[in-house]
Amino acid sequence: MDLIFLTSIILLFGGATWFITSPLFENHQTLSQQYSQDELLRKKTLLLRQIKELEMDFHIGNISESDFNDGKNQLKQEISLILTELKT
Amino acid sequence: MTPVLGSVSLSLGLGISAVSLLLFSLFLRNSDFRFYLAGRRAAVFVSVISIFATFLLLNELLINNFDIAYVAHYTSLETPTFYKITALWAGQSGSLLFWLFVLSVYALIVVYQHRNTYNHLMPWVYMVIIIVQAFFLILVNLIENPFSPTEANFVVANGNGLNPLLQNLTMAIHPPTLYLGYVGFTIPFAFAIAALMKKETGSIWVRSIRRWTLIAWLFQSIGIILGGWWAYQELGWGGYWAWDPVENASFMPWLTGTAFLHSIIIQEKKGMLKVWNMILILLTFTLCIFGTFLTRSGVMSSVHSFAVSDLGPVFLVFIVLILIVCTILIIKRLPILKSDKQIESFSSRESGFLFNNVVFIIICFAVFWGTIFPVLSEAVRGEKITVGAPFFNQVNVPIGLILLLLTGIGPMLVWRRTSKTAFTRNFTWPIIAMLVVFVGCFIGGIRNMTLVSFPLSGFVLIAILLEFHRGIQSRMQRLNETFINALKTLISKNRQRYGGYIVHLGIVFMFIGFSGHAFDKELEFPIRKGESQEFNHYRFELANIQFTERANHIAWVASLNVWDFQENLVTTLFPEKRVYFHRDPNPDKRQPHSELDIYGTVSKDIYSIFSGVDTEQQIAYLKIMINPLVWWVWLGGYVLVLGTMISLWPTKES
Repeated sequence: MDLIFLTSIILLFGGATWFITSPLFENHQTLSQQYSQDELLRKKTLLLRQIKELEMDFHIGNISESDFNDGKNQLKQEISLILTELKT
Repeated sequence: MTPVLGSVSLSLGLGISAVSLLLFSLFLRNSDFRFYLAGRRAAVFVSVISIFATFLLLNELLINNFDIAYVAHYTSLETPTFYKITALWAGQSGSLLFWLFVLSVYALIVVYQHRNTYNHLMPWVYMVIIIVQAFFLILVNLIENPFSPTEANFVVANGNGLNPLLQNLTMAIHPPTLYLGYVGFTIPFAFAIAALMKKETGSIWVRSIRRWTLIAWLFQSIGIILGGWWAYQELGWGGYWAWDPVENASFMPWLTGTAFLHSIIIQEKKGMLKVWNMILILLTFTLCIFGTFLTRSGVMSSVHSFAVSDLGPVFLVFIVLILIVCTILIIKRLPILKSDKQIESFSSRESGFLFNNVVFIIICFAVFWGTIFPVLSEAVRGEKITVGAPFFNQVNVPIGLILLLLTGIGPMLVWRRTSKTAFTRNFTWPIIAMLVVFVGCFIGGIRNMTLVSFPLSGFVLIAILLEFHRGIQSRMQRLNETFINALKTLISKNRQRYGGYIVHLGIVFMFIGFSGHAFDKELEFPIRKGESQEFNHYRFELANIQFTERANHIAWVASLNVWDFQENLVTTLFPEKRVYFHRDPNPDKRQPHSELDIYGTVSKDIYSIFSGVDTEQQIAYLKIMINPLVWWVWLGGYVLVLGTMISLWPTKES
């Protein structure tokens, strides 16, 4: 019984050490600190959704026409920036 | 062997959490991606080993290993299997391990979900989560080890068993849901700290943590409602909220979390309230730890508290550290947290949100003050002055009504400024509804606080329905949809917004339920078998008292027929007087317990409690309470959960 216990403890420690340290011995590319392509797409989707919400607010009278146009143009500009970033 | 393995696992978890922090620090210092990967793996290992240790303890509970003090203390051979599982969080050390377990599960989800996103934030997010995990690992390793052996030089043949009050289905679900709430706020907190560290102040990450906050908030809400339900069903005092310190402890982060959920809408849409949002989420997490401190330290007298322990100072140090770090971070980042725009008008929706936030914080402060006042008074004057429910009700009921009013006003206000036309269009019907209800209540002879709460409920109800109406009308006109289709698409395409309105609807129902408390009635009386007692338009007839013996208790079951004034049988109630641990030779260890029975309807609950029994004389001592509108509180709870689920439901990314 003691032997099994000892073995399982050794396995636990050994497994933990191998699992954690193995990436240290491999070559990896550096972590991008910029937004990834997926994130940019996600950001774009969120902005498109914000436009939809803005339209909804406008149709039910929660914002004035000028605010609606300003807000929509601003969001569109943000989207076009993302699209440019995606192309590059 | 297993207890040792459990202890070793917890020690290993603590050690690896330190390794993980070291690896992430190295990554932040030299940007070597290998350290990041190794740190993340270490974080995964800490979570897995914590989950493993929890399952080990669960196993010991199920197999009645009374060599472990915790198992001997909270289970017995007679404890049903289901309650052996729930014993995991019934005691001090088990519940701390359970806290760690829940956080570990959340941490694994975060690791998986964000394996390729927010790369710039994630090292800090992991570090914060690991620091919190390490804190709980310190507690379960050094102060309250759930695997500690029984301190006895003899074999423990049977355990103490679980407290009868905890042997209830609701009580089995209530703590885990509340934990999911408390612990869940760690994730948005970690993101907030990461955003501060990385000077990220945009609206995209806010949107991302909104989901996590909503999940935590949902569980917190369910936990609080279930706690109220349990108190109502089990404690036998006829209420669901007693302003007990531990109830308050769960309520405070809920209040700040709710405020945060509202104010991040402003940050998302207008780029405002950035500092305020940071403060709110940091405060929410701190209050979660404070709540755990209240329950664990024993500084407060509460039905929930465990015995006085050594945990108090450790928790206090942790709370102080969190506050210091957060304050320094916010002060350092103040220049980048400036709002993009300013509030332009008092009558704007932005103002509505801000007022709503202020009210939430005032309520939170009032609850906080009332909760810690006994401790402060003891520290300053040497005597503990307890602040009871009257204080909390006196302060919070009027503020709560203002909050209810704002629930109706907020959605009807227009962004930037509400014009006279918009004001007339949006407010006319709700004001008419409010006046109609007020006049109806006045004519009906109502002269208490409900003369305000019912009309306000009417106001908000109509305001919400109007919001739906306007949205549906807009879709019907623009897109030629039928009413049903318009309703369906309106909700499905704007889940966040209309889910939120449904939550507001739930809150209105709850307020209607709370208002019913003003009309509560009760009567306590002895009654012999075959006799009747009249009370509040009902006749209560004791048809029988039956003795029965069950697996872990004995019980006297009263059969109480309830007749109305037309002599129609309304229902038969079966309240019970139970004695748990009845086989224990030591009479002091036998625990009497009243299992009540309730007949609930939309308009009122008939609540029966079997207080005592004279077996020789065949006399039952009963207490009957008539509690109007309680049903609406639970209905509100269901609606609130439904609304939150709708808000949380993922939208197709098309």
